[in-house]
Amino acid sequence: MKAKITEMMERPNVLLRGNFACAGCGLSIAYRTSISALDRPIVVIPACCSSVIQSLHPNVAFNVPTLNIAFAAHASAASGIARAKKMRGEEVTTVVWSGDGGTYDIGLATWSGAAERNENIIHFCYDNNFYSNTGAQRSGATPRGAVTTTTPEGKKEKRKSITRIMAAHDIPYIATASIGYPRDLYAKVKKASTIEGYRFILIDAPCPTGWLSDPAITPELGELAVKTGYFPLYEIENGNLIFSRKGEKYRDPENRVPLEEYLSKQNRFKKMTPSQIVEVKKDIQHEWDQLVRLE
Amino acid sequence: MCSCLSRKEKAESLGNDSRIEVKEMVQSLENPQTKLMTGAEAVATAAKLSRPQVIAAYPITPQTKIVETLSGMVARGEMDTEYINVESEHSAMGAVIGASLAGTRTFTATSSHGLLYMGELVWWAGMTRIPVVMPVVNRSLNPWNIWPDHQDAMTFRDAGWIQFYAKNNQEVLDLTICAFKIAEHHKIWMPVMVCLDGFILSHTSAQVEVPSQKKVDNFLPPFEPLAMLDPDNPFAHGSLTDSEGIWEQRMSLIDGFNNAHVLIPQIFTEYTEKIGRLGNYLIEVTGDIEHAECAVIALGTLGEEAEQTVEYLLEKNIKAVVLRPRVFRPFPKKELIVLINKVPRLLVIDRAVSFGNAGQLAIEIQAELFAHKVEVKFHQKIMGLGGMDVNYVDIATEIERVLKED
Amino acid sequence: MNEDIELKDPVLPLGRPTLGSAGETGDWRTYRPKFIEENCIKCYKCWLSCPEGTIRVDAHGEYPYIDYVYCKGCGVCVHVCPGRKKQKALEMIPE
Repeated sequence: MKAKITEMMERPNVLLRGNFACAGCGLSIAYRTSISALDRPIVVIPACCSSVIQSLHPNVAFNVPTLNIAFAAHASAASGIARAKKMRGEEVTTVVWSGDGGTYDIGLATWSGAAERNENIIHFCYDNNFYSNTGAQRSGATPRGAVTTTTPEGKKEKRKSITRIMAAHDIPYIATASIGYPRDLYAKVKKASTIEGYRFILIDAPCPTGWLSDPAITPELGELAVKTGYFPLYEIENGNLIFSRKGEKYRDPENRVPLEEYLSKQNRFKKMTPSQIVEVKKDIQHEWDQLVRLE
Repeated sequence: MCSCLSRKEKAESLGNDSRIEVKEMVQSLENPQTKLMTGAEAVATAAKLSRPQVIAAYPITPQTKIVETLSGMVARGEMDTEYINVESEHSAMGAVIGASLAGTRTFTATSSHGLLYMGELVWWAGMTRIPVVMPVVNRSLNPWNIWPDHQDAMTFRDAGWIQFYAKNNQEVLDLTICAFKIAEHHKIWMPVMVCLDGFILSHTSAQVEVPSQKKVDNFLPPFEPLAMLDPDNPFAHGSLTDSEGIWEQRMSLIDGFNNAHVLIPQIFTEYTEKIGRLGNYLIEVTGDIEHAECAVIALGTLGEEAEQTVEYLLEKNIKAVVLRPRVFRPFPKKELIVLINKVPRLLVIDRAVSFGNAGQLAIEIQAELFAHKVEVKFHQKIMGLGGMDVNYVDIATEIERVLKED
Repeated sequence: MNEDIELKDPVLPLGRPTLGSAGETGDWRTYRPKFIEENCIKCYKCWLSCPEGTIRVDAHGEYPYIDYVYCKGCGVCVHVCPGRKKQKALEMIPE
């Protein structure tokens, strides 16, 4: 999918300049691109980097109505907003904007409940693979081998597949996207906004501060994650998985860029042994094998 | 507990004091506005009459009947309400916070462990000024026990919520309707917890006068948000705040409670004029305070039980008076001191404990006595934890002990 | 509690959208992106990928420009710029 840049340029500016985001912040690209695609958004933000980068009260950098709420209360608060606005007869787009900690870990029950009720919400998870606003601790999204402040020798377990957990809820729309491909991300958000019910978009959002990478290559890391097969791009509509055109060819391991190219650009992987890299490659292939079964 | 009466004697004294006049009850039941209902049904009826637009709740004994009744009313189209069957109490409060800020009147209810699991967001609602109304059906905490005490609600006395403790099902209904008007008053604008004792009220049927919808509508206007999440006028609610900002908000919350202290009696008065019964007092006085040898202070149904103690002790020529705070937050300090100044002795009964110290009510009253240099003989007693039965004879025994001690 | 006292309005935790909510973040830069107009093909990849939104474009078809008051100097724009004939339209220069 590819949105027209002219259309994207006409959308309102949702992220105001001069905020607390680190230089080269991946989630900022994700936020700008995603939220600008929506009509009349109301955004619920649990504890995550976005609760920091929106800046200090009484000033905020997010130019849309925003409710900050406790870590594990994003989808429940959004459910309340969606129902209340329905009751008031107001057309809005209710959004959960959560990091991976809030989606993979502590907030899992709240979104699972909201997804089961098929609340009219778009749930974005910008995935930077750990708890970034507290300074890079391990989360359920942290990949095997990555050094975080709570896995100083590298994480021993693979990351969980949040989209497959989400798919088990049989919600109408699931997509993965990357800040390496903003036009694909924008188009998927647009598509999601035309669908009713609980929708989930997982966005790969590199974090130079925590990944110990050059801020300038944030988008490149997004692209490399797709090209190495590490972060497959796809949509699941009503249970049917369709690989996105941008990333489809990487289902064949032969077409993938060597994983080492992706890992070597991030110092968080510097402690990985060759055998661990083999393990991560197996993790990647396992995920693809599982996804193919949903096609 | 009470060691001076045998179980048999207690039962006899209770049996002799059958205070439900059957004739009177039948008469009142013929009045279409008076219904026999449990405390849980009184809560649900009050909620229905108050027209909440969004309800989110999770079941827990002994609150269950409230949510079952309300979800039935919504399903049958008797209420124009969005009902969210959430997957936890944490999400129940999360949902009503969202719904309230999206511009609707909101309601939830819980109890015991449910309240504790909700805890993070109970504070969130308190600190960020969410005008939600939440009955708490008081129930003991762990290990598993479903019987009443006040440990659950007392755990949240500092959470920035107004707290009422009701003595009977009528007061449950009246206070719940008032709670919406108080929570949503633009000079108060904070959440209200209406506490009712599990089973003693929630599952026991009693007569309740139910006001007409017209009367309630006349008392309680539609929800008018102070601030609403609105794409045409964006703001961020509860974003990262520095020390000065937190200080300003906390000071404002203190002001809000002071405002509530002034305004609650006025709203009670308005309710009494437009609907009836309630009265404008924060502390109910039962007995002859001018001649009382001892005042008993207790919350909720313990306070009501103590009212019977007053009558019982009169037969023994002992004059006692009951001071029952039905508003615990804001704490009615001024009113309490005026009353306590009239009595020589005080017995404060708590149905909860601040472990390592004493009952919360006793601690707070002692602080006021000290601040105002009140000369009174002070006694305290913890009773009824984990649903231990406390009847009026037990309370009488405690008063007699107090009188003997000094 | 004196009933004649003026009742204060509640202070709600509301923040308003503000440009430069974290100050003039251009101060953070050690390098700045410099725009070289003759190499720009107006693909707007810099605009798409700028995390801060400090690459400005007044209308489609116009050249982009940089808001140096807030640009944090991350270098993403330079990295994504394809340029003309391998000559980038953006380069990083020391402050």
